[in-house]
Amino acid sequence: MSQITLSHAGPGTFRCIEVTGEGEPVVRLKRMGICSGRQISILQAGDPMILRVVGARIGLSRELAATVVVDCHNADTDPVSATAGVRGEGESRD
Amino acid sequence: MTDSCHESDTSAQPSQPASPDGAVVALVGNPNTGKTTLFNKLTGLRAKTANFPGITVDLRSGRIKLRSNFVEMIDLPGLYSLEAMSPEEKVTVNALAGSRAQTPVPDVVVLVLDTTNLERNLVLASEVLDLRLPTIVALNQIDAARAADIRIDISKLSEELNCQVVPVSARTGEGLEALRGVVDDTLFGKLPILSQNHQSCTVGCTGCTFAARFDWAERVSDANIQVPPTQGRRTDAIDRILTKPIIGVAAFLSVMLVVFYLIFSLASVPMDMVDGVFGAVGAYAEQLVPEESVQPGLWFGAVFVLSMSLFAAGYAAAGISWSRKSSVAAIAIAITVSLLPVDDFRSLLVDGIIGGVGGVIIFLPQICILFFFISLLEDSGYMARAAFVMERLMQFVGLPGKAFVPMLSAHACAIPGIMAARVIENWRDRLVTILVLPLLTCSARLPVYTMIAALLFSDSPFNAAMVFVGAYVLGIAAALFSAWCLKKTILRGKPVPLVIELPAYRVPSLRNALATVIDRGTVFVRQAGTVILMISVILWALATYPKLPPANVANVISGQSTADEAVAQEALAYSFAGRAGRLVEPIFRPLGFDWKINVGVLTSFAAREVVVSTLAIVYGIGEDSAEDEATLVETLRRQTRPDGSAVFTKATGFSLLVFFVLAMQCLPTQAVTKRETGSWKWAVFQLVYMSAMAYVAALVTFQSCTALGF
Ligand SMILES: Nc1nc2c(ncn2[C@@H]2O[C@H](COP(=O)(O)OP(=O)(O)OP(=O)(O)O)[C@@H](O)[C@H]2O)c(=O)[nH]1
Ligand SMILES: [Mg+2]
Repeated sequence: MSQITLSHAGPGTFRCIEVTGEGEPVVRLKRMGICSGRQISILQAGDPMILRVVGARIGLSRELAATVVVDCHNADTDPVSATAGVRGEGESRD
Repeated sequence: MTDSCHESDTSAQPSQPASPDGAVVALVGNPNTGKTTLFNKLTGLRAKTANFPGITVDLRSGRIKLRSNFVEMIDLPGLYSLEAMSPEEKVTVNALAGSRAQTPVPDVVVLVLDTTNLERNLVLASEVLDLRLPTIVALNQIDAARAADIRIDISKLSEELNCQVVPVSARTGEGLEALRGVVDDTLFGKLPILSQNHQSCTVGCTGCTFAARFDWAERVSDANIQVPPTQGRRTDAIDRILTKPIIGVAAFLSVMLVVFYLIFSLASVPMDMVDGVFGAVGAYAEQLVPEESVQPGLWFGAVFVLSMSLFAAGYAAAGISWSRKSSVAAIAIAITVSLLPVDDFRSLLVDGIIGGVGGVIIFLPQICILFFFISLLEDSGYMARAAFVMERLMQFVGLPGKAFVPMLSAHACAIPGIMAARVIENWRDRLVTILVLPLLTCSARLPVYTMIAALLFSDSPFNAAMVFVGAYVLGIAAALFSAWCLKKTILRGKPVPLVIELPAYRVPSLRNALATVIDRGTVFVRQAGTVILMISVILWALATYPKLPPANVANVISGQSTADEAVAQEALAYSFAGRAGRLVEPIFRPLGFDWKINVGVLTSFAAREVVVSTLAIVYGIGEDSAEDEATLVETLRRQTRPDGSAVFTKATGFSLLVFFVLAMQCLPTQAVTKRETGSWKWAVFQLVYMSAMAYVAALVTFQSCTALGF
């Protein structure tokens, strides 16, 4: 199963696998639904990006998006950006 | 209470059974679900609401009427989870646990859920239901849900949640009677308190502690509610434009330009009207006061009664009670005023009271319109987008995008802006934002800007408008620059990365905007009728006494052709105010201020709009206002320095403008800074750095303008 971080994903719908890291910002993410098992749609990529999670729109900075690991095999996913994401994982550029 | 089988939540158990009087009903829910709107509707109070998550920052209580008796209702800050992260969320968690002083554990919790966003709201609902307090679910925004064609099975949901579910709309008032009834029944034992038995995450949850709750919320929502797939399309479509990096910023700037253009174009007619009314009243009062004392006894009695009724009105407006001290003060002042010579009394009435208060009241239309538009903007849902698009720009000065929201509010008034700074999670960033907020142009500066713009360019409306634009831009630039400096020096640290909920756009509530206007307008008029009236009268006294001895009058007359005006000038210079203005003359001369402007600058440290009244009084004394209904600006433009050159040159005007853009001149703001930062240290720091910056900037402005020959 290939995984990418949200910061490398393009528009599409993904399932969240885990949120790495700790501390306040991460707890904030989880409370808003960016938490393992949830579906996350990227409505607008960029920094900050707009997501749809649990029925609401969330504005999220790319820095935090980098802590969110999602499953990139998804029917909705734009294949180009998804593969680009896999390659780019771990690098700082997009 | 059914607490026998749940030992775990001892802290959350009410210490005593619900008693009919002193019962407390708490409103709890996610941010932006409409708790405060509901609270306002039920209690008749007017707490601030807006379409932005995190508007309510502290507990507020009011009384609501149930079937037969009143109970206390508390409105609480919204929260995403009982696992509180911010001080506001802790307020709510503590209130629910009864660990706040003076707030017992609520007897009934009204869980306010946003029906258009139910799945998300159910997560907090599951946590709150786990507290096992008597809970009622209010499905709010049912009007919006219906409009969006969302279908809910209420009885099934009620069964699933194991508590009463009441559909309501805080905006239209629908379902509020039913809600009152259910609260009444729950409080007074007519409804059984159901035991809760839903999903929670106490054992065996790994990874995300919220996962189990989210799963539960998804299941409950899927089973009981049908959301059409088109839900949110409109908001998405608008967002595709407004949240784009460059278009978004451009859109924001255009929105603000239109708002400010409207403020000035719409306000001009009512302002002229207010000006006319005060001019006429002044002229009428001047005629009314007889040339010399008619009959001492009658005169004394009439003036005494007049003064006392003015005090009664002022005390009532300011909420001062008639204690011994305040009564003695009122009577003493009324007697003094009644004993004034007729000429002095006329001057007090016309120059001091009518001139001073009228000079400020004239700005009521602009202030109302400003609050009207800011309220519409806040209610539309745009503010969260402003924070979003500004995130990257704000990062340059080291602040988070959310700091932009209080900065926008501060353009109405710094005080709500400082309160709104609580949306910033990080303490350091919040402190920096609070420290720079008073640099942004608040409504109290409008009178000053208007006066100066008219002085500088009365012949060219375009240039006058540019003076305003310049002043606003200067305020914003100074705030951002100061924030950058503070973040580079004493308050270093990286801003917290952005996570913000972007609420759906809504058609703003016109009624809410009008109510805000009435509230803020009342505050402004009350301020003019109390504080500014008092300062005006004190100032009039300081500018009138001690009187010029007759010998000096003769001296002046013999040497001058325009005798009356020269005497007035000399008399003012001889008074206390004149002496104070002269005392600080060496300090302000490099800024191009003469000693009369100094009097205005000195008084404006209490509240900046006072400078307009002060100048009206200082320059108005000795002017014959009955003859020509001279506006303040015309009077000011006529003023000359001893050498015959005009006082208000372009250089002086610009320097004065820059000074008022940057100086910290508002005692109430300082008090709020102290409260929000917890120490006078920061309030003093704010005063010192802003005033120093104002002085230096005005100095540079005046000197360079003079050098360039303005
Ligand atoms: N259509 C509709 N809008 C509503 C209703 N109730 C509230 N609103 C709007 O929802 C927005 C949020 O209302 P608030 O009362 O400030 O929400 P709150 O829950 O107090 O929010 P926080 O204090 O931030 O937690 C405002 O724009 C209200 O006008 C409703 O019943 N119907
Ligand atoms: Mg609220």
